[in-house]
Amino acid sequence: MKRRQRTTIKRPRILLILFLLVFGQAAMFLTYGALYLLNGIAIADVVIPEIYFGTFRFSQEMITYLLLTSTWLVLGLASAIIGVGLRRGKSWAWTAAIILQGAVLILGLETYFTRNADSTFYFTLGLASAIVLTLNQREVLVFYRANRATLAE
Amino acid sequence: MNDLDLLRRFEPIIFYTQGEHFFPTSVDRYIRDCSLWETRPDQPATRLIAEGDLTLQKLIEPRSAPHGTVQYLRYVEQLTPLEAAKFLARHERKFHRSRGRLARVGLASRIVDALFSITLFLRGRVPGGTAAAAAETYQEAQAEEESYIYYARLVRQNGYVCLHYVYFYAMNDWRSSFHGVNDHESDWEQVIVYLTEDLTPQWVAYASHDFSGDDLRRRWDDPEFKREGDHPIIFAGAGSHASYFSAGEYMHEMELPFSGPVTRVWRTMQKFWRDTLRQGQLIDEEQKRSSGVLVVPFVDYARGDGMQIGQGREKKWEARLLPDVHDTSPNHPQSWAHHYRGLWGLYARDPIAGENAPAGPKYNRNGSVRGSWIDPVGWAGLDKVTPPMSAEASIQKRTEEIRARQQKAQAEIESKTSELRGIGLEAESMFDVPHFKSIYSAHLKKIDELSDEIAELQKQIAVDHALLESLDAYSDRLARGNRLPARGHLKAAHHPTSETTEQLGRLAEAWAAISLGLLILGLVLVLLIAPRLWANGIVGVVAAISFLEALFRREAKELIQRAVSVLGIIATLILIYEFALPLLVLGIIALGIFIMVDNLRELAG
Repeated sequence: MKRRQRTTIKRPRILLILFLLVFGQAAMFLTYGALYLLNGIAIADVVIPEIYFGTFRFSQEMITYLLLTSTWLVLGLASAIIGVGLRRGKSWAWTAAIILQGAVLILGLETYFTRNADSTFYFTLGLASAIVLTLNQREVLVFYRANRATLAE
Repeated sequence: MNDLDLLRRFEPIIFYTQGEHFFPTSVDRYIRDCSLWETRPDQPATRLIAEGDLTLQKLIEPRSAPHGTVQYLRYVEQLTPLEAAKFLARHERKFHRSRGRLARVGLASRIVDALFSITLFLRGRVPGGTAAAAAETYQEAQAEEESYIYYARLVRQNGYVCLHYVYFYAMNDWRSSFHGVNDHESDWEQVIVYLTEDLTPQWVAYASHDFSGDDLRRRWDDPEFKREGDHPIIFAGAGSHASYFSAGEYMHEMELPFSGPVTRVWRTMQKFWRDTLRQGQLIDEEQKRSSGVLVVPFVDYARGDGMQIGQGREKKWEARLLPDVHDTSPNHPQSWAHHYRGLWGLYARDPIAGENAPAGPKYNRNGSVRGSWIDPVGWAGLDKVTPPMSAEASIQKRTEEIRARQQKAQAEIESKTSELRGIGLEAESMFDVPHFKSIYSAHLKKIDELSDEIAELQKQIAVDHALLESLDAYSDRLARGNRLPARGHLKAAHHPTSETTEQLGRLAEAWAAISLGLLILGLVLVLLIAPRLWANGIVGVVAAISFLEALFRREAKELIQRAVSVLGIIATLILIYEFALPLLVLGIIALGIFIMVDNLRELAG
C-alpha cells in the first residue's frame, strides 16, 4: 500500500533546545513557587489560629510573600502552557513566549539596576536571554510563521 | 530613415501627475528670461549678462575664470510670501495629496526628517517663493506660445542604436510644491531607448533617483514597462520629473549627508545580527537598501493622472536634434549642449548640491561629462549585454577564445610536466649525496612551484570545459527563442507603495504629525515633574509613544519582538560583564571536553 506523503513542515533541530529551555524555565518558576508555598505552610500553624480567633491581620511581609508565591506559580504555569503550545507548533505560543520573556527580562533588569541581585536572579536572566535568542532564530521564526500560514489556508 | 525620423518613431509619451506646474520646454525660450552670473571663490556673485541681453550665442562664449568659479543662470527673482500666496490663489491646485510621507515611515525616520528640515536653514537653499515665480514666468511664456519640446540624439555604440531623449524643465519644485527632497531652478531628465542595428527595440532606460546601472533599464517585453506601439510611456514624478515605469507613489529614503559612518556601523551590526547570529527574518536587497539608520522619507507622486504629452495625445512634442558627440561646432543650433558647462539655474551654495541647479545634458555639476552622454550603453549596464542578433556570433567567438586558451594551457602543462620530470630526476639523483644539500633544497622548492602551476592550469582547463558546456547550452536555448527572464538583471527594482500602505487612514496620519511633538513634550514633562525618576520616565515615554506608533502602523507584534530582542541583548551583555572570568573558564573546559570526546570517538571508531 502506498504511504501518503506527510505535508507537515519539518521541525528544525533547534526546536529541541527551545523546548528544553522553555520547560526548564517552567520547572524553575514552579520550583520557586513551590518553595515559597512550602515555606507558607510552615507558618500556617500560626496563621490558622489567628484567623479562627479573629485576630489575624495582613502584614506587609505577608502580602509580598503571597504576591511572590502567586507570581512564580503563574509564571511557571504560563511557561508550561507555552511550552506545550510550542511543542505542538502553535504560532500563538511563539507570540506568548516572546511576551513572557519580555516581562521576565523587564523585571530582571529592573532588579539588576535597583537592587542586589542573587545567583538565582542571574540564572533566570540568562535563561530568558537564551530563550529570546532561540525564539528569534531564523529557522524557528520560519517554522512558526509557516504553521500560521498553513492554519490560515 | 534619418535620425530625426527614427527618434520620432520611438519618442516616449509622458504622463504627468495632476498639479504639475512645469512641462518640457525649450532652452532658447528659457534663456530669454535668464541672467548669467558668476561666483568666484570667496567672492560675492557678480552678474555677467543681464536678463533680456542673454542669448544662446552669448551663453557659449568662452570665459576665463580661476579654479572653483561657478557660472550659473538665474531664471527668476523669488516672489514675496504675499505675492506667492496670490499666485497660488489665482491658480487652482489640482494635486490631491494622499497619505503623508511621514505616516508611511516609523518614528525614527520622522526624527531624522525633523533634523533634515533644520539642516535646510543651515545649508544654502532655493528661497521660498522661487517656485511660484518660476511657475508664473513659465505659464506666461506658455500663454504666448504653447510648446512641448524634447531634445534628442542618436548614438551608435557596441552594436546598439541608442535613442537618447532629454527633457528640460524650467524648475524642479518637488520640495515646495510636493513635500519632496529639494527644489532647484531648471531640471534635466533623460530616457534612452536601445535598438539593435536592425532597429528592433530591445531595452529602455529611465533616469531615476537612487538607481544606476542595470536597475535603470527594462527589457522591451518586461510586463512592468508600458508602451503604446513603439512609444514608451513614462510616468513623471510631480515636481521632481523623475521617470518611472509604472504609475504610483514611490517612497524614497534619502540618507542624511555625513551619515555614512553611522550607517556603515549600523549595517555591520545588522549583518552580524542577521547573517552570523541568524536572528530575525531574511530580508531582500530592496529592504537592505532602505535599512539605513539616518534616512529621510520622501514620496514621489508619479500617478499619471494629469496631462499627457506625445503621440496620439492633444499635446504633441516638438523634437530638436542635439549635436553628435564629436560635433562641437559652435554653429549647431544646440551647440550649448557642448559649450556651456555652467549651471542652468540658481547656484544656492548648497554643499550637498541638492538645491543647486543642474548642469546641462552633457555635464555634471562639477563639469565632468555625464556617463549617459559619453557612454549611453554602459550607463544602463548594457556594456556586458550582447545584442540578441549578434549573440550567436559572440558565443562562437567566445567559444573559440576559450578553446584556444585551453589549448594554450594544455601545451603549457605538457612543457611544465616535462620540466618537472627532469627536475624530479635530478632531485632523485641528489637524494643521498651530502655535498648537493643546497641544490637539492632548491630543486625541491622548484618542484613545489611547478606542481602548483600545473595544478592551477588543470583547474583552469576544467573550468573552461564547464564554461564551454554552459555556452553550448545557452546557444541552444537562444536558438529555441528562449531568452533569460526579462527582469533577471534587476537587483533592486523600485515599486510604488502598496495600496495598503496608502490606506492607513487619517488617524495614522494625524498621529504621524503629532507624535514627534508629543515625544518631546513628554520628555520635557518628565524632566520638570519627576527629575529624580528621569531615566524611568524617559524609558516610559519612549516606550508608550513607540507602542502607540506600532499600533497605528499595525506592527505591534514586530515592535514587541524587537524590544524583547534588545532586552535580551542587554541582559546577555550584563551576564558577560558580571561573569566574564567564569564564562571564560567554562568555555575553555567545554573546548577541552569537546576535543577529548572527538579524539576518543575517532579512537573508538
